[in-house]
Amino acid sequence: MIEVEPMLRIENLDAGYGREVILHGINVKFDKKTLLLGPNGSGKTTLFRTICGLTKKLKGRIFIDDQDLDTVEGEVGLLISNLPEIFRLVHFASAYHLAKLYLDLLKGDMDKFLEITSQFGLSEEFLRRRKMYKLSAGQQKIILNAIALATDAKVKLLDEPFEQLDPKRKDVLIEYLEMDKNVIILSTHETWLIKKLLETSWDVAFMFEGKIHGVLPLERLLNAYLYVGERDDSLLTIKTSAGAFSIVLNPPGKPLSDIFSLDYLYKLA
Amino acid sequence: MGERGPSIYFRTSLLHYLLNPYSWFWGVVFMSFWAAMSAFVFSKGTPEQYLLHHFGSTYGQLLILCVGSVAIGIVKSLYYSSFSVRFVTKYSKLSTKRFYVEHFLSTIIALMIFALVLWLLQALFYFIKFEEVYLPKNPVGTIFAVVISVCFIYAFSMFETYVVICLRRPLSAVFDALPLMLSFIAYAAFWIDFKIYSLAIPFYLISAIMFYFYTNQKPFTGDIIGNIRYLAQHDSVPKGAELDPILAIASMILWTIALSIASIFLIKKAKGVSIEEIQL
Repeated sequence: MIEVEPMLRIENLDAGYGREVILHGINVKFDKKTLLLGPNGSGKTTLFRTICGLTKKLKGRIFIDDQDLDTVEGEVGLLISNLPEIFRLVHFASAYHLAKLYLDLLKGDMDKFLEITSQFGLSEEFLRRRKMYKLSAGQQKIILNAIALATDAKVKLLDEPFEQLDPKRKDVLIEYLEMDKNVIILSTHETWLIKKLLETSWDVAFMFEGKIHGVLPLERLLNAYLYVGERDDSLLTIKTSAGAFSIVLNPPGKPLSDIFSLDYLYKLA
Repeated sequence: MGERGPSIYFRTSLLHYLLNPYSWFWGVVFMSFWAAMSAFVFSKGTPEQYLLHHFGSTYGQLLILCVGSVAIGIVKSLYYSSFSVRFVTKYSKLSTKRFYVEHFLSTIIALMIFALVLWLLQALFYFIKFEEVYLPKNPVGTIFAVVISVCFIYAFSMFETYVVICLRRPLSAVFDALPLMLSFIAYAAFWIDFKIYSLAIPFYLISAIMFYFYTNQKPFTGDIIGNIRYLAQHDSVPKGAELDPILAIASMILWTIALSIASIFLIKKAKGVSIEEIQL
């Protein structure tokens, strides 16, 4: 098991856009690689944007290694994300030069970046030739993931990193995620990952309607079921506007890893 | 470069502005058209001994319009990158102050290059028309005038951009072009006398300071055409029509410092904004 120290701590967090509150009273601590599972629109990206300082906090505090993120300035090696909006410092650069710029600012490893992108079939020559906006959505996602993985930031927020990747490339990305020694929070709505990741390295948290439920060790969820309703023997009960769901170890219920996407959950209700 | 030197951001940002075709067109090509008009059309009737004054005041006007046009590109690119600026100033070695300094220096160098090319083209047009190169009486002072002019335009552009980003109101369509719109105050000074208030109008002071260093003659408080005519007829200027150049320079520097401090404060406060959110 990879040893990691307690890292990202969120206390009593409310956040949103204008008067619309998206995140409600989040209290959570991520001290190892964590899969953040939630359907589309559950607030995963807003949570990442808030941690990065891009979305306004209405209340609450966020810490990395007991360092309040409100007070952070020019602090390299603390946080990175693959959110596309943080990679728009310049907008004419080739993919290669954009990566070089960010890896210089973040003190990342350009050789590692090129190694990762080559594993995804993107050569250095290709990256030098193409501007970011001329790449496909999948290629852009590969580059942003690779920049994040090529840094040594203590906390890495990867928002839907598998989106638009073909199955073979998804497997390559999983290998790099497993090799990374830092705390990764990986948001996705795709539950098939539960069976693909190394069970001892990962925790799982659920996000529904702006609230986080969990955190549970991945190994406990490998053979878990999703039951519509509440049960006394549940590992976790999630109450949503569509009803309550329970994560349970025994049937009846639908195997969690068979659901594929948590968006399906609302259809079950 | 070591940790104390500029980051790759400085070089990337400089290239970004120098390779921008819109900046070259609106800042240099379009302005050089008016420089040609000044040499071949607007200079008619100007006494020969005042052609240097004509050249200097025209260049002062075109300089502010040139950098004002380029500033629109600066404002737009800052809107586009506001989230990125927020992130990198917190979580990369590009702290807020370092970002401001590197962005400032790269932009200033780009603006200086635009200003130099514009001067070369204007000098070429005047040479073709009058067979004389109108060099400034005080070359060092003229370069200083260009530097403080572009510094002010930069500080102003950055300030107004971050006001929009912090307010998160759909104002950008109006505010994008504000530096250029206000630059036309300098053009209005051909006919309007701002009197003592000219000291508080940096957009006019740019052309006034340029005129001063170019001709070694104190600039006017406005009504440039009327005052040059009076000067030609009486060999002196009307009482109170001259602007103290030292006070003008001090005013420009104070404006630039105040706007820079306000900008750094606003950059720290800004969360970033999506470009769609601030469109009308």
